[in-house]
Amino acid sequence: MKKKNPIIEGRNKNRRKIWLFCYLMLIPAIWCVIRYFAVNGYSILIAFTDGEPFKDEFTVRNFTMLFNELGQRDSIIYLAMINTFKYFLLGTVKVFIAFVVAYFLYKKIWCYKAFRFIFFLPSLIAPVVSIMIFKDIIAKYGPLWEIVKVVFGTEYEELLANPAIATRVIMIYVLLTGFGTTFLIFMGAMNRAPEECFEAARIDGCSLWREFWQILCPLTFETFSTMLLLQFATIFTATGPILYFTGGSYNTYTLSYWIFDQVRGSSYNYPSAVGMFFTLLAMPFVFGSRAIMKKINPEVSY
Amino acid sequence: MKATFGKRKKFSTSAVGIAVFVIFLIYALVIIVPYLYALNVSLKTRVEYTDKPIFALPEKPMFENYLRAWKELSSENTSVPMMFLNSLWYAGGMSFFGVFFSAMAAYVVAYYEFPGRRFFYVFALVVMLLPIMGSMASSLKFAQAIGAYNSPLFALLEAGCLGGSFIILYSTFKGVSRGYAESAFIDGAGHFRVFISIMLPQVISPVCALLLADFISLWSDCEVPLIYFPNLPTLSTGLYLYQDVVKKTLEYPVYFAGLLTCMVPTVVLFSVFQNTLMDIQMGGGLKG
Repeated sequence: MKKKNPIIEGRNKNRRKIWLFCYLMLIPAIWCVIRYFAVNGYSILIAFTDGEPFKDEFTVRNFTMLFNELGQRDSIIYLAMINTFKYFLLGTVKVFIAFVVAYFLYKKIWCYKAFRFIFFLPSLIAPVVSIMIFKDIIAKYGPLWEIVKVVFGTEYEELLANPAIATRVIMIYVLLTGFGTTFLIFMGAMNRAPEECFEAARIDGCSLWREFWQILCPLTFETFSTMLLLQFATIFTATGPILYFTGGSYNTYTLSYWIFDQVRGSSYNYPSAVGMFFTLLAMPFVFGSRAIMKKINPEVSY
Repeated sequence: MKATFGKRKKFSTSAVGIAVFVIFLIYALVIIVPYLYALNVSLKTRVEYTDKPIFALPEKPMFENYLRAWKELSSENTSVPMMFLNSLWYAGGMSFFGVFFSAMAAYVVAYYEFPGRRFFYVFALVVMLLPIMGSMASSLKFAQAIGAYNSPLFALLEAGCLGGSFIILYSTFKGVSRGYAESAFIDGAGHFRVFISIMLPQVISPVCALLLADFISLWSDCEVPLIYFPNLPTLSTGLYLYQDVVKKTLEYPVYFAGLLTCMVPTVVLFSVFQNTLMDIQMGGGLKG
């Protein structure tokens, strides 16, 4: 019989102890993985049935229905997809605006602390609060209606009850209500950038634009590209606060909200198929964007 | 004027600085004025709200509207204090468990070598980059199956720990020196003790930032509570559902008082910890 080496034995015992610690620490993470596969596995199964998997027969009817809907310009899914793209583009533009706003706050313009607080205020306050106030302000006979009547002498009907402009009104709200935590994260990255670079540039007579474009942008590119990448991940999930504004009426559905609305109404199979299809569609776009970002990333981060 | 050595032209007094200040001021007013309008409405009587000019100030501020909101607004037979409690366990519990579990996972994945280590990192990356759409239906069924539906257990069982927080904390742990931990090991401290007493305090700032960001977003969330615990409305859900009642009763001042009450906890939290939020450091890990 082979003799056991006490050093190797001790090392193995120690390793097993470390592994045990690691897996104990990972119990919540393992639960997450199990939950993820169980939920998405079941989601795939119900996408291919009209009822309960293994009780009802498997079918591709949900996907046939989806492709038919996507082919019709007046179908809810088609409109939801178009609206989703609009919110996605708006979100992307907001990442750029947030970067510029963060830069000016970083440059400590007058009252920058107050502005930082106020700009973040809409993200602090529950949408139900802000939106109910906003709806009251833009409503017929509301304050905005009164102002428009006095200034322009015209009266408007309920803006949110007009399918042609309802989505635009919600998008204006989304644009007006700030940049979430994005601009704070950008400010954090800018504050971490080494001051010496800026000092050296100032000594060389560097203009504000060059400081922004040639010093600050490269130094904070990693943070910026990460936020942009996270934004790209929302290509088919981008949405606005539709629940509070219209509940999906007046052509305001987005794909995410439509799925939510269907599930709330106890319809499970078709939304699962729609979700699965768009997730597959998003995959090459998201991972392609990640590969591009990785390629152009100068690997400077503060 | 070109800046010279030692003399830095102050940005805020330059032409660009003033122009930006004016734009920011206008934008700040656009954000602030609606809340001031809501405050004004919340202090009016119902008659003042419906009959008097919109911008008129209340004759006598009705602070009792706030008390009435606390007592009268109810949804799904749940009073405002109960809704407040529901918001607290949902936002507080879920953000705490989510961030703490993420920190546990990020720590071992960042520092220890063990079989499957890479899997957890790649898994978190995929979950973060590729949100699965349409899994809400099966997720609801899963919550029902594990007893998390309509129960505060939801905050524990559904707290995700392999997503954004994990990636951020993974990058943070990677950048933290292990010197103190090594000394503690030599002094006989165990692995868990080192994590709790040595390593976690070193990343407490981003942990607090993530906690705060999660708490704020969950406090505002209305969609998840509507689907997963419809019988336990949070403040956001309750106020959303109550709008149908207020359309009939026209008690808008009381409703607005309720709405403004809802925003107090998050505004206070942010006012105290606003610098902490900037400690969320993005980058590095995600593009891995």
